[in-house]
Amino acid sequence: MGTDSCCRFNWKQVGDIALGRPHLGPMMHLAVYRLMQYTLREAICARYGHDEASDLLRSAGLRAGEEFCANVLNSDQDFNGFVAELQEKLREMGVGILRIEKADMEKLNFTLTVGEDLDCSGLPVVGHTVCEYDEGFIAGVLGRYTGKAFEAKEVDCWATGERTCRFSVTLATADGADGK
Amino acid sequence: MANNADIIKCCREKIEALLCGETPASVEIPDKVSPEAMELCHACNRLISAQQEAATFLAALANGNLEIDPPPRNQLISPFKQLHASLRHLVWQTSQIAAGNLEQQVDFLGELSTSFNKMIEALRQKQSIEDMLRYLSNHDPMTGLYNRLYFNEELARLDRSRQIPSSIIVADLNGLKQVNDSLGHESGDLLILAAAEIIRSGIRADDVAARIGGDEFAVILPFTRNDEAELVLSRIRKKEALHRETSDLQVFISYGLATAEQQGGMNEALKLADKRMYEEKTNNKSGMSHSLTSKKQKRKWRN
Repeated sequence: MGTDSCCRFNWKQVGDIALGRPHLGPMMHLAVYRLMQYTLREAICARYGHDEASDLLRSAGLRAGEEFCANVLNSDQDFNGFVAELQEKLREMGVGILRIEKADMEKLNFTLTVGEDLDCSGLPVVGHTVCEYDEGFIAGVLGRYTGKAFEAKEVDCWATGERTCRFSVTLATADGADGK
Repeated sequence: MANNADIIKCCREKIEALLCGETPASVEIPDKVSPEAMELCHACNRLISAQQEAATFLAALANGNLEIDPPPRNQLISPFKQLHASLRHLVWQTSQIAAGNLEQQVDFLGELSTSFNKMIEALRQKQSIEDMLRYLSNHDPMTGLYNRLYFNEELARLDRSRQIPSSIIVADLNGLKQVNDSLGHESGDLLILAAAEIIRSGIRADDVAARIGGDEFAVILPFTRNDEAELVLSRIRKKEALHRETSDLQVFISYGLATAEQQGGMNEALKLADKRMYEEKTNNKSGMSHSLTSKKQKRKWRN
């Protein structure tokens, strides 16, 4: 199913923050972001169920990652430079502390962690991962950079009792959740 | 019904053993026990189990073995999990640095971050100096073209490779000595720079242009047939003619071209290109001139 043109995200929708918020600036309290994400999650979950809510958040994250890569990052650099810039931007914008643990450049498999994650750090332990939006975001960023479809799976999360989110990133399979 | 006091005593002993660094066996839960005592036994056993799995992980971490994953859902060792993730990232960063990637930076690890980042900065400076030295050792400082040393290395490399056919253009600037003698070395330098720019602007991205002598230049054209090399040379000649039309500095260059059709033939090709360049120079001797004044007042120089 395609996206209606009226709903298609465009980076202009981020708006001119400097113009619009001369006094408050670009920053806001993290609680506000989480308030939006988790109430939105509840609303989607109530209507479509937990799995569908997870899929929709992942899809939204994928689009966010693609647009973030296209509008904030420089894709014309080698992988090391790209990752360094991505780390810097995520830190600068308060998204999280990205760290790579393993990178197989031949198979395009990565293990990376996000510390102090925007979505989940400090949450109560609920026993399951909650960073589907991040999963999509990571897949979207890498997908736009490489031109290939990726799938990111969160294997550790603050909400499962860990203290850093860990993602296993692989090329998407034909029936993978990402890269549709 | 088991005595609650006995169960409490048993659990206390287990906890004290834990605090002494021992690994006690689980509490054996009697068949008949009060719900409260049952809960206490289960909680005590969860604590023993969590400590056991934590001990394995922490011992590995203390020994620098990062391959052992931290036990999931284990809250006892939360800060160590963070440390484990940071160390794994450091290992990856170190391997990246060893591979020559100096884009790394460590954050939020206290003094380790400071020291690591200082080391990276020092390595960047060292690399910058090495790059500069490498550039200087390979390039002619005046023109920015490659120098004779690099040219010879490239020629030898190509001789060993299977990039056949490959071609060579030899170019010689006419009248440099006369310009140096009559107008001074600064004017001669301008002539050399103009010739270098003409050659640079005419060649392709993979071609190697070098200044191999005071007024001598050469271009290596890897994997290039003779007819393809002719096209490159024709483009250089056009650039030269255009330069004479648009500049008061009248540059005349003699060229020679040859192609190595077999592996190991680059030196022979160089000699042949050199010979052809001299033939052209001789043929054109009567028509060469250079001028640093206006074209209407050309000063003639014999080459």
